[in-house]
Amino acid sequence: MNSERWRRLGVLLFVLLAALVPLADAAMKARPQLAASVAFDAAGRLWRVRLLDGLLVVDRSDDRGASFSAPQPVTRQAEAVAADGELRPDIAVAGERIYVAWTSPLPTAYAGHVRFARSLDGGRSFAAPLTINDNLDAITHRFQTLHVAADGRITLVWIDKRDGEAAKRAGKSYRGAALYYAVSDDGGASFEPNLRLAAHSCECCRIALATDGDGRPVAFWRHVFADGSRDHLLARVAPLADEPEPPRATEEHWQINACPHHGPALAVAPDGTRHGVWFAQLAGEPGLFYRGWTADGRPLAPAIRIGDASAAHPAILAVGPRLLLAWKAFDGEKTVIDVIESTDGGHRWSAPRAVAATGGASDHPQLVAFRGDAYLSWSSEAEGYRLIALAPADGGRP
Amino acid sequence: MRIVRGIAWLLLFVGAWAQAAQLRPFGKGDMARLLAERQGHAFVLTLWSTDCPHCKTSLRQLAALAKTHPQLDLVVVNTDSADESQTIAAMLAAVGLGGRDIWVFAAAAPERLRFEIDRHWGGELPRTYLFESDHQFAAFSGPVDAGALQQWLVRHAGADRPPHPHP
Repeated sequence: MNSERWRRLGVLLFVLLAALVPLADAAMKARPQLAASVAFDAAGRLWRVRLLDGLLVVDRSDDRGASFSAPQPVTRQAEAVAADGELRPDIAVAGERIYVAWTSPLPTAYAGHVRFARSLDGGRSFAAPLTINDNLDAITHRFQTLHVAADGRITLVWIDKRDGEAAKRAGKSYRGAALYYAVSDDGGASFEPNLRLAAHSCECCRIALATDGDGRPVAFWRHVFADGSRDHLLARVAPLADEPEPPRATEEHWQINACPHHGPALAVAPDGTRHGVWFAQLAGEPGLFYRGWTADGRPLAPAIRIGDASAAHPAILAVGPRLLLAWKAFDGEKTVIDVIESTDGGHRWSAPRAVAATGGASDHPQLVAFRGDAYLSWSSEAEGYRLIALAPADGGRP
Repeated sequence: MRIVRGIAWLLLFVGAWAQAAQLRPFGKGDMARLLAERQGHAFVLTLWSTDCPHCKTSLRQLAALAKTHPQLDLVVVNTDSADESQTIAAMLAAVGLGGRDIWVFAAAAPERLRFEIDRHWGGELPRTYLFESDHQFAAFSGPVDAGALQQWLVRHAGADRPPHPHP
């Protein structure tokens, strides 16, 4: 062996060792995977999906979150499941049917598969999961969102990079990623072939889905516009023409070539008006913005700022005449969930009230309703899971 | 003789590895410590995640800069967590930033660290700060603006001074 070879061997060993490096510090622990999703069934029982010791499980609370049933594994074989921040498992309940969807990350960076499983026996057992993306390359198919309509149609929308990868292979550039979707009209036994909802979505922000006035899903997501700004689009779940460029639903014109990791939230009120909340930077100041739209997508009023510069990861809920908005804020010591409420369709809002706080790691807040009652659903590492009833705020009364 | 030289190379590399690529938890108060250690000195701080496709471009840009300016004080902080350290180390090596301290977010709540670093940062990545000697800074979400970077380099030819004064 000549010295060049030894040197190469040395370099190789260096690289191998470098890859093994840093298991050292026991003080550094894994980021907790706290993301949990919940849904009420018709009887007011709360169903929850989350990761427990690395396994995707479903359990149920008959007492508004005070206690839960024994966790039921969704998959027989353990698989990687994303349950942190913008990437959360979803759950929907229709009678005895429990539907669960999640992203299973692959070892390749940014890669994953969109997975779906159903239970037909009230959560006692789950059928073998399906992979919903029909492109199976080790690329991005992630950030899934599940919608189940009253007529039983199941829709899954996710961020998909198959077009971007194809462009790359052809030596072309591609702006952002794309939204793909799949529907099932047989209760989740099978899904129709994948369709593209929109080209040029942002790469790593959750997608918001809500039920439009006619029961069909409407989507709200961060898009990468031709001028490089990352504002949002609001559209029904159907193939959306790329040209001419669809009109913006939000107009901060946030120019960044970066990953915000801040997806929006959307709710549709009983009168069919749509209400969205999202994160953006405007005049150098980050924060949340709210705006409402008519049933056909025309803005009701200019966007307004919500909360302070630390406000992020919002949830929005329409329940009867009430419109509730929750978000995460940080006051220098604690992470706080602030809630505001409007009873006039989003024109006037109550003053923020802090309904929960933690000193440690926490999930993004979720809002859920059963009949006329609204709840905050929130997990934090120190306090565990909390379901907090949100009584009407006086300030929101007309 | 060749074997001896080979072993010498090996030891050198293992030694360099053991000294250089250290996993450093970035926790509560570390931003203040970082600044205190660099009192009166310009430096670059960059934050990135393994889950951010745009971060690779920015890390490559900074790796190229570090190569042409060996004395540049570049602090690279990953915002994921220590259990992803192998992926983090591999990605840093792949973009040409191997063999340096690997800072990784280690506070229970990442919002606390963001608050300590910059209240006007919403967590978007990559995020890079060009700190002046008096610790005024310019912040960039996405790749650093080439013009701003060039001007910073001109002001701090001092990127050529060692970041810590010799006793």
